[in-house]
Amino acid sequence: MTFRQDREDDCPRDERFGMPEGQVLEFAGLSKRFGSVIAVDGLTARVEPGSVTGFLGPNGAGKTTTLRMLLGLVRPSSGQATIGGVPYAKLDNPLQTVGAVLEASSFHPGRTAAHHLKVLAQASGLPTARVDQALGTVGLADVAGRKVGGYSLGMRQRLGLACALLGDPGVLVLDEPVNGLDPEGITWMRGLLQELARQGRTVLMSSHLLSEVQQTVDRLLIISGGRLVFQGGIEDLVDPTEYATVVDAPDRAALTAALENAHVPYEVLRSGLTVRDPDVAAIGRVAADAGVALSLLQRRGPALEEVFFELVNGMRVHPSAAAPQAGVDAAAPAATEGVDAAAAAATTGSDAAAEAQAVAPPPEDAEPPAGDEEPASTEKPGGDEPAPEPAPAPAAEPEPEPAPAPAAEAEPEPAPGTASFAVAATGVIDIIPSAEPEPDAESAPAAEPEPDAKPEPEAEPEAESTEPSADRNEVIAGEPEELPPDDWRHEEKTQADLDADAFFHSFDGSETSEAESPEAATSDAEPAADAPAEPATEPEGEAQTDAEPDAASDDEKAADAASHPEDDAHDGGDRQ
Amino acid sequence: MSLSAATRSETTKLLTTAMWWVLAIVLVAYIGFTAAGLGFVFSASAAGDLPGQSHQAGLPTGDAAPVLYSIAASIGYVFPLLIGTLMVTAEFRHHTLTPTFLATPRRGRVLWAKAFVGIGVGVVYAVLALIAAVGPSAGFLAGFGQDTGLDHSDTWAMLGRIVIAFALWVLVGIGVGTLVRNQVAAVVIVLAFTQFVEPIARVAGMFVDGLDSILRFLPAAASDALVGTSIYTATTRPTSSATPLDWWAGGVVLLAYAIVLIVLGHLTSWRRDVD
Repeated sequence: MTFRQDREDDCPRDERFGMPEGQVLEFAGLSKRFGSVIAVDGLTARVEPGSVTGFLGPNGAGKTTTLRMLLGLVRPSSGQATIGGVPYAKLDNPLQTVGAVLEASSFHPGRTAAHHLKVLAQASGLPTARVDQALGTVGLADVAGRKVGGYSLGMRQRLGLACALLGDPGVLVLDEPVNGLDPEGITWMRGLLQELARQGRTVLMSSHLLSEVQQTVDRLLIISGGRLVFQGGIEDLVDPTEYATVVDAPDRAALTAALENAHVPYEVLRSGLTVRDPDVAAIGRVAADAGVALSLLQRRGPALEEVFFELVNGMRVHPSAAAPQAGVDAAAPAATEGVDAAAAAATTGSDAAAEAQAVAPPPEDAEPPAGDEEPASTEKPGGDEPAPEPAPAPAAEPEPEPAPAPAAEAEPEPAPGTASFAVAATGVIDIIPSAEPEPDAESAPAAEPEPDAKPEPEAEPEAESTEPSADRNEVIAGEPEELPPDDWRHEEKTQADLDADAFFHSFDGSETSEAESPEAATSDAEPAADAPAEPATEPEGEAQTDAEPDAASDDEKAADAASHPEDDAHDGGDRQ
Repeated sequence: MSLSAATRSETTKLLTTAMWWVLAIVLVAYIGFTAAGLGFVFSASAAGDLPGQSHQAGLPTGDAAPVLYSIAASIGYVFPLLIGTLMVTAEFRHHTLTPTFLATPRRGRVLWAKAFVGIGVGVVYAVLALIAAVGPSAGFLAGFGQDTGLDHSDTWAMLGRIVIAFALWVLVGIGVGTLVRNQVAAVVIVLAFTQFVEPIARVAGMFVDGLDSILRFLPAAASDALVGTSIYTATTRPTSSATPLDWWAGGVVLLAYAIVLIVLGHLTSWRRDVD
């Protein structure tokens, strides 16, 4: 192919006739029913000019139908979609107002690209000179005279974009525009769309992959089952409280001392200390003031893909979508339960935990519940080391597993349908250094040093809520050195991961629902989810990253909670 | 955009694929060959040059020219019908209705534009068909010393009516295409109806009293009535009492077919969701 990046330079923007105006796209109670199937259900949303808006949803969510209703190709069953307040059919100059890229196959194979554009140009009263410009913009000038039948999918996609850009419209609507584009083409497309948005145009692009548009879009519109589940900036997707700062230093004792002196609550993970405060700079300052050299300072949060997945599956409800919250609450607990189930604790565990939490803001109280929740009651009682060890191995394990497992597993499972999620899922697991996490996750009880080590620490913290740090540090010492960045997603699966998957797949039957909201439910800071589990306090990032850490972290959380009860209370308040 | 813009667009759309000229070539070849063959036979027959000729099958010599010329319509009418059908079904088949309606969201306007372009292409096809029919026929007639009829105004009037018939046939085709949508089905229907159903019905009409009065309202019969002469009516003298429609009535009937089909297609199919 002869696509060249430099084509961008002849973008339509150079040849604008008058500055195209971005229009507001508005969906008002838009519904479409095909027979007994409701493709779009009361969609109300707004798309603003000046930004690239991603229109996301799984396959069959109603994205294409919505866009087609916006473009007047499909008649809504009720409600309406307008462009700058006007339905598409009433636009005076449709192609000069809205450019649309729909399916890549709507070309007569026997017609050349140039002729196809000429047909559109004439229908819109555009000068035919625009044809060459548009073809140049998308890099098809060299093949303009070839019949479209000989085009590759990528070339058709570009031709579709040329059609959209033909009238230099202020609004661009693209349905899966990067399908069939090679990586170079995708990069090019991203740059082009962002540039168009920067010029003040409205850009709405659909996709079923968040990762696909994550780097392109500023705002998101997420639908699932024809209903809006999220609307807002991509930065709003994750609640700020779900972010945390991970910090570590070679001299961890000094660091913990510094944090304690600064009255900064923290939790200890193998990978470092987690501070439930997204303000990275503040943490860095604390360390600097104390003269502690840091080896790691990073903001961590849930992977957007996971949040997206949860939204789509109803595990998470965002206020931007006027939907009942009840569903979420129900779902989240279920998820936690699933974890317990894995540990043989059964559903009651989470309930107990939830209750305990609610009842016991004070640290000490809080701990026990934590213990119950995951390890299964056995572990708790024997808060002391001795007890923990024998039982702990088994008990301790379950914990690690539950948390990681769900995280790891959960995703893969739901994934079967959608590959994208599988990727994210694997990513989750992957982060964990294969040696450690896996063993734990799987069940290597005593054989491994770490597992052993853990049980104890866990037990201890619980029992002795007050003296967490030291022990934990040890336990945690083995953790992964590197934490993935916030948006980490694609990682390979290790053998250990696969094993873990296999193990947890055995619970699939009962877990399906939970599986889907792995991290969120088990350890995340999610709104609804945390009621039951404290996880709320803990940044999701950790949960996802470390298999064990999670389990451990729960305990830590408990400890943390103990020292900062108000946090919990606070969280609880916020989230509910 | 305006109707003229839509019409320009439709014209480009029609002329930028191979369909129109492929059909035109077939049209010219088919009609030319038929006209040449019949022209030779009729001319030779009229001149009494055919061996073993026993005048009973002889045609009224005066009628030979118009009958031969009208081959353009009586045999060639399937071509404008096909092009009209394909103009619409191709859009369904290749999903080009999407860009079409994006550029011209007022769908009725697209249909109007297609109708205008259809009339245009019908005229062009008619001219080609007439050249293909009149050329060889007149050549043979002149060669055998027969009257070519080209100096009669009646002959030219008939040629003009053939042009009108072609235009109407394209409109009928557009109506069929709009209504049927599926290109293969539409083509099959068109060919089956024009090549088998109606000819057989008309033959049957020769043997069944009273059937003629109904059959004359079939589209091809109406078309023949509009043209005023037809190889069918010329070779198969109707024995029944029913007289063919007047030429204008034939035109009206054909136009009514076109309008009814297009309106029905617009109401039932054209306004549907495009996917």
